[in-house]
Amino acid sequence: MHAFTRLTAAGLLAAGLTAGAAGPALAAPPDPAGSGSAFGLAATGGPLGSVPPVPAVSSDAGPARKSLLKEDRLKAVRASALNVSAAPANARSNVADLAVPTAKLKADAVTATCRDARGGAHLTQATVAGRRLDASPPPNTTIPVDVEGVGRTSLVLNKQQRLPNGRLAVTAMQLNLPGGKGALRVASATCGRVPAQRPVEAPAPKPVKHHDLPVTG
Amino acid sequence: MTARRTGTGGRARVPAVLAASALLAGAGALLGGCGHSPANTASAGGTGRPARAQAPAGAPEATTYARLKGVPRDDAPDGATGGLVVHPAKAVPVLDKPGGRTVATLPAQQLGGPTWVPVVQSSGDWRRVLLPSRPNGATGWISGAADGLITAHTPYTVKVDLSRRRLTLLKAGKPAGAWSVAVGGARTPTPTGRTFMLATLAPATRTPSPLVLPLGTHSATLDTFGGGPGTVALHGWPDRSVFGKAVTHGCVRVPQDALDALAKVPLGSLVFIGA
Repeated sequence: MHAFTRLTAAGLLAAGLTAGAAGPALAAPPDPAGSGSAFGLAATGGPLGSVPPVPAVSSDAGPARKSLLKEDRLKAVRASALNVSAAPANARSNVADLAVPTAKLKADAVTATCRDARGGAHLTQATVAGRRLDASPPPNTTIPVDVEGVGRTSLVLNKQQRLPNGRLAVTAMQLNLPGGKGALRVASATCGRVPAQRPVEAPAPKPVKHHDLPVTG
Repeated sequence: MTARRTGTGGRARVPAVLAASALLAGAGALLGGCGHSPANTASAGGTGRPARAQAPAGAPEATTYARLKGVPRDDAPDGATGGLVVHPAKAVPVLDKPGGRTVATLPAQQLGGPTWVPVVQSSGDWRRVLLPSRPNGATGWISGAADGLITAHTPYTVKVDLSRRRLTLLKAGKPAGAWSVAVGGARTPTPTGRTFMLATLAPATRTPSPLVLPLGTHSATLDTFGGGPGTVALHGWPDRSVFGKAVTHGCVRVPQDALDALAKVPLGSLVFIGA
């Protein structure tokens, strides 16, 4: 209990730092419109601990990808084989062997995809408190969960947020801490639309030689 | 004299007042002396070429030679656009409305050069474009997702003020040149409305103009002219005394420096002809 109090205090501090930034700002490092980004795992504050988005990629040009064999900095969360990739108009994050024991949350694989500003999430063998979760949950499916030492909170599946610049952020799983005191995010992908191809300047015409059209003089 | 007529070689059946001018008559013959492009001669009936088989058989090609039926008319003849122009790398069907009935085919080429038409309206993935065919103001819808459709932007527009007999070239909305020009006479007026730069032709004979710039519009009073379909064009003229006068069969005759500037204007650029 003593430890929990300390953790909660840390959580409050973290919450203060991230107040109002629970969504997009956390989803990925700041990036311009017309870029894609993805990360495997991120946590802010609370008894779950804090970790910046890892692995994280961002791209406003060609494809970028990163992998992490294992993430074990968070005592409350285990995950392996975190693979993320991003290009301006598509992004994907896949986290395997996820376990959050205090929330009785497990999944063989958690995937978020975003393509041309449309997104989806896929969960493989995911359970919370022994309950099987929908493999393809509708956007922003929220289910109550009890987290040990935290109490009743919510798990949002396939969290989709439209960002101010028109991009879409998809987080396959987001375990919220009560009172907005942070969250654990698993598998997040953000992407824009295929950049509207800025039309090139029309070419100057080339005269068609020896081609006559009788015109009206 | 507003009845449709046929001018042959610019001599026999053009209005007498105009035919009286040897220069004018000569212009008809010179500008019109070389006949049609083989590729476009039979355009109005649909050529049925295998490479253009996307449109239903019988859909006429939208060329300067065609008279199209069932096409929506331009309902904003004064309307400016953002300068979007499109070129079909291969022929595309032209519909009467988004997802509607095919009324024509827009070929990849016009008059030996690439087809570029202005987009005047968009609806979802559909682009409404001006067509170079009769009736004047013919428009149609093409799919913006059509295979091979190339999109570009032109900063240029051309304005022809018939009453002031003045042509102004605008780049990004700002005047880039203005010239006194000759426009259609009272009996063969230059048609008003919104049209576009259709082609850039270098005739075999450089007189009276080394370049002829046909527009997507046609004389309303001459169904044919010199063997052609009555296409209105911008072109040069050796006798500077015509500039500022309403003396042509419908074409707009421009000074050499105007022709030089207009020759650089991308095909598909809008031309506004106002009374």
